[in-house]
Amino acid sequence: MKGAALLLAAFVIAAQQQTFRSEADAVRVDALVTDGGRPIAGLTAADFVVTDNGLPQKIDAIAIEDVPLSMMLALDASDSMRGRPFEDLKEAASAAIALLLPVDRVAVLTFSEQLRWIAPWSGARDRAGAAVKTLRAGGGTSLADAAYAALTLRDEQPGRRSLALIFSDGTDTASWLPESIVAEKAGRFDGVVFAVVLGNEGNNSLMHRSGIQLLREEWSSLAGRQLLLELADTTGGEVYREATAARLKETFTRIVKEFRTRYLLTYTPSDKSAGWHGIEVKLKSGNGRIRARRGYSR
Amino acid sequence: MALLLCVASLLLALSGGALLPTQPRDANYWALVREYRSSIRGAPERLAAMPQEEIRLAVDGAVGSRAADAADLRAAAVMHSEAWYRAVTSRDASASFHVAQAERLLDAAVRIEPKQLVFAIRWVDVMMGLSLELNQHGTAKLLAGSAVRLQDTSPARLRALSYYREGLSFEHHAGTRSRRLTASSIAMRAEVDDADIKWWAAAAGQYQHALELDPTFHSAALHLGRVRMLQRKGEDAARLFAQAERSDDPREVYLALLLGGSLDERAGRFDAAELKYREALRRYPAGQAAPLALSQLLSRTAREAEARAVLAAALNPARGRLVEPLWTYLRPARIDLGYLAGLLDELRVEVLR
Repeated sequence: MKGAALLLAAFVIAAQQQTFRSEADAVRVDALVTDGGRPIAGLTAADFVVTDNGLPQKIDAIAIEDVPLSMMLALDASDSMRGRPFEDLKEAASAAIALLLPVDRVAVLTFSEQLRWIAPWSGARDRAGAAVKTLRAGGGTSLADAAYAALTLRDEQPGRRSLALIFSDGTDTASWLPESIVAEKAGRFDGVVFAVVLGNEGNNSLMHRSGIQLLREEWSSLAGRQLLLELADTTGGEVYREATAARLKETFTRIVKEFRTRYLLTYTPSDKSAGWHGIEVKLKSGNGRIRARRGYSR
Repeated sequence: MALLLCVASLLLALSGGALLPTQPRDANYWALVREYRSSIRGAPERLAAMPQEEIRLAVDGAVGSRAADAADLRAAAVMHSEAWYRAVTSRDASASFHVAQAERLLDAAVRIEPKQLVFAIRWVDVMMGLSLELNQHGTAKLLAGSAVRLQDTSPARLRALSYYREGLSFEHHAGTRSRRLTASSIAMRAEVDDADIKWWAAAAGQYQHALELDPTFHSAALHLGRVRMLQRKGEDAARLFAQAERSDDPREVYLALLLGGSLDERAGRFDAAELKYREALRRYPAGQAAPLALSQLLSRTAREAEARAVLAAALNPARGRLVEPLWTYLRPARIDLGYLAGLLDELRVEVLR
């Protein structure tokens, strides 16, 4: 009797460990599927092929609209945004917040030289909207630091899909963190980064950086590329360049609406080795264009 | 007895209450100075609104006393410097009044505590530069006179200062020219352009001269340390950062720990790096770069919950405006970016508790 009880206990513990391991190991991939620029609806798990480090994976789950959204807005409030562009930005941010559903959550981070988490995670859209309305522009631009903060302060509530929308008018002048570190962080972020850039991106001439390379290996993929492009690419997002701030509202609302048309695929990787895992998502039919994260770091 | 009480009340009424014990007339002024030392909110604006006579009396009282607190005097001088900047940029006639009070307060601070001379020299240097940028030539001339006086008391530091200023220019120039370096890394590839090398070497040379003239010039040690780090001379850099950590100036200590920590992190010495970042945060809690550095190190070493907690605390808007020493690191950069008010942050960091 005692032996049977012990055996049962061991079985229960093993089952719990297996469950715990599969939740922790699951990889989520947000994929946008379009044909001629228009999202394709009605697809099922059977329509997709997902490979992880080249190995085909079994898709455990697929979801679309019914997964609540957690949206982080990271907004450039530097000196160069003063005046009408800043008012347009505030309007765009408010419009994006207004599109959220009651089950969704929002947080707002602003950055000049100083980063400020002006609205922590909450379902209270009016509070976030009110915080946006009181913003003022002034100071330098800590873009890399802000991007790191946006990824690190993701919503910890489980069962949600994460959208980080980063806006800047381009030139980082004050960050401490090297871009390579921030880009590496994107590999451990299971949400999607969208970036909106106003005007032409500057030459990224920096005055205050640490001047260090924290990663031992060379991050050659960043040579000549902009940080925001790297973040969007790694996570399956997009970078939008706008010539004028008047277009920001349209762009922000487009991003939120389009995000809801993305499929959320979940799989448990067969290969759980540490390091970078390249992901590829395709349609079995071969039709359509897919935008999804390039991979992740374990 | 009743008659005596009656007379006393009458006399009191006639005196307008002047016979009652009152708050010292300079209490408001020093309360403002102490507030300024603990928080960056609003004090210079309230100083600007205070009657000049009240201010003058308070300053007279302090400069005439040997018991005044040198740290308070120094903070008051910086507060007047901010008020001066506001007056100049809003074309208010009180500008010269505030810079005069600042000078008096610093003179008194140096008399009470001679080691404040280092700060006084830095103040003159920053204010002269700012005056010239703002076309306040009268003020610049006045400050040049102060510099001449200081020359007699610290000739080595004054001579070293001119090399230091040249070093700042070269270091700034090298940073803006170096395409790879300005992406925050020493180089994306191992080799550095020939054009880059000579500018970094020029910066190093100036800082080296400054240190030879005045081996206690911790700012020069700090900057030379960063240049050596960028030249991949890690051992030299570590030694120089260790020297700068011995400074009395919290700004220099913070930056030395931050840069020294990044050197350790690059070499994979994560425990040592974490200690330095935590110490930087402890020595100067009002910064942003140290908590960011610590957060990302914790994240890299798979302590995501701690990374998040450190970052969330640092980004709390209740902290108000921060004065991050990193933003004051290169004065020419600040000028180049047009952030003239930010030049005073270099002094502000030193007076915050």
